[in-house]
Amino acid sequence: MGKGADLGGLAGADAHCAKLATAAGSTGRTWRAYLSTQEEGKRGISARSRIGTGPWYNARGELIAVDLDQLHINPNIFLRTALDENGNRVKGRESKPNEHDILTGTQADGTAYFPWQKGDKTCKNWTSSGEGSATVGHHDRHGGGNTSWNAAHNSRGCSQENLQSTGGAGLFYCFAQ
Amino acid sequence: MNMNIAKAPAVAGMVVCMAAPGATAQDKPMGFFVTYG
Repeated sequence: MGKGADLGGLAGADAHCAKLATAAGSTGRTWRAYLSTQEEGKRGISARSRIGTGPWYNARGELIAVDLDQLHINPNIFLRTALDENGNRVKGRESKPNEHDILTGTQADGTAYFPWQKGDKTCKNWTSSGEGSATVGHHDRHGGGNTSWNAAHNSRGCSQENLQSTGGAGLFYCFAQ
Repeated sequence: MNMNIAKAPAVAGMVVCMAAPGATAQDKPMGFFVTYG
């Protein structure tokens, strides 16, 4: 995509996950991007409600989490295991450039933000490549004094340039239901 | 990675657990990955 945090909304991000998974040989599974949304006056869609119940394995067959509870309490998500669809590592904090910020728009428990929590946390529900901000996690579990894989800090903006300036590149997680 | 776990001969009443011959980590279907947006 390469348009910062503009992923074409949830539908666009889901389709991107499915396309890459299919190209990598995955069959018969429904793929979802691990992203939450925000809505005016009520909670948006929660990432944890979109990805099934597990278990989930990476492309090398290594267990990531057996269920939603483990995924949000003690997942096996680290630099060594948070791989792309072909089993390759994703650049972490020790790499140049650092690309460990993973877009989630999500609280640490996997749920969407409450409406009283002001401010954009989802880059306008994944349609903005300019103004706004998004919550990101760190797939390598390092940096910023926060080891969260899904809710470490908020991005400086939603453009590709702004995502890169805080250690990202517009990456996100994909899970099979 | 072959999982040839059980080498000792089984005795009467003993339950032997071993992985299927040729089983590999790749037999686990991928359900998670990280990608560029």
